[in-house]
Amino acid sequence: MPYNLFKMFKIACRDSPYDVIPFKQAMDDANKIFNLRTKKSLLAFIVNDGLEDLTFINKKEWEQNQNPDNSIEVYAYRFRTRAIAGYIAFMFNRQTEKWLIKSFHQSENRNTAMLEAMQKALENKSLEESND
Amino acid sequence: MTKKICPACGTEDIIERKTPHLINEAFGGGREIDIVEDRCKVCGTVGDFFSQNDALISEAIDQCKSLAVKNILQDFLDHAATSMSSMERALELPQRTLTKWKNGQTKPSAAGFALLKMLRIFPWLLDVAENKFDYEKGQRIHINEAVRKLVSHISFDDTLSSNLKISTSYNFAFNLTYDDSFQKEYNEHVSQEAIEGLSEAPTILIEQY
Repeated sequence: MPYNLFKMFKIACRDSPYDVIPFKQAMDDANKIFNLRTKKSLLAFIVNDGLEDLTFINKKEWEQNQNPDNSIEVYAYRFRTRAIAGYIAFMFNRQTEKWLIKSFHQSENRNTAMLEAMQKALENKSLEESND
Repeated sequence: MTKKICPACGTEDIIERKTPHLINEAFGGGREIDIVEDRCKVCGTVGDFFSQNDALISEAIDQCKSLAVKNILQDFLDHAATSMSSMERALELPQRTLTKWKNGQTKPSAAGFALLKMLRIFPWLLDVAENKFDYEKGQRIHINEAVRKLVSHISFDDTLSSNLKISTSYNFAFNLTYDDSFQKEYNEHVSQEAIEGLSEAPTILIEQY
């Protein structure tokens, strides 16, 4: 479910960008940390699979939701782009039919990004050696 | 007319205001513009709800980039003692490309702009291009530049940092002369002194002469 939802979110970023709204803080962080200075560049990055090694973390009810009859869940994921470990959280409001990017910043687990990349490279090397 | 509502909670109780936003571009300085900030008074969500800012931001970035292109190319003309024609030749760009960029007649693509910034930070890349991007030669140029920079920060005798002999392999050695006005030349030759005493592995030998 969370990965299917991400696919739908990606489609929205590609086909209906006006229905995807980043929170101000998310846009500021995208600019400062990832050098994505406009909403267009942020959405293009998402659409072009810039969020590598995407991993679902959790989902929870949006705390600021004023309408208990319209449940809005925030889905959070971890990703990697080069050596930066990132975090993205978004939600979809069924009433307004808008996607909102609530957070887009460095992951708290950022030290593992390089380690994971190196481990992956070593695994591939071991596989190559065992195949020789 | 479509009602303006908060995309997060659906309320109409939103306010719009202008806030300053600073655009910075390496070598192009900074530019402050006013962008729209929408705020929902009910749920507190803040953002550009109606996609009004991208055009403003993009225009400001373009203006900073144009200035950066002019500054980078002027810097090369002022300090690197290399003509734009020579740079174009080394990089295999059509002649007058850089002149047109500098005068604003044409704009470099994102890739062209990235190239200019790389050359500004690492001007020795022009030497790599001059050597037809040969890997071995490129590595030697890279290492020599790094060593030169390193040595210039070490407090040896003052003459050391301006006259270096650098051997980077057992086959070749070359003299590098460098002064503060960015003039440099080097002659690549087989140096018997460099070969003698060196192991077969690539070695960096720094001598003062």
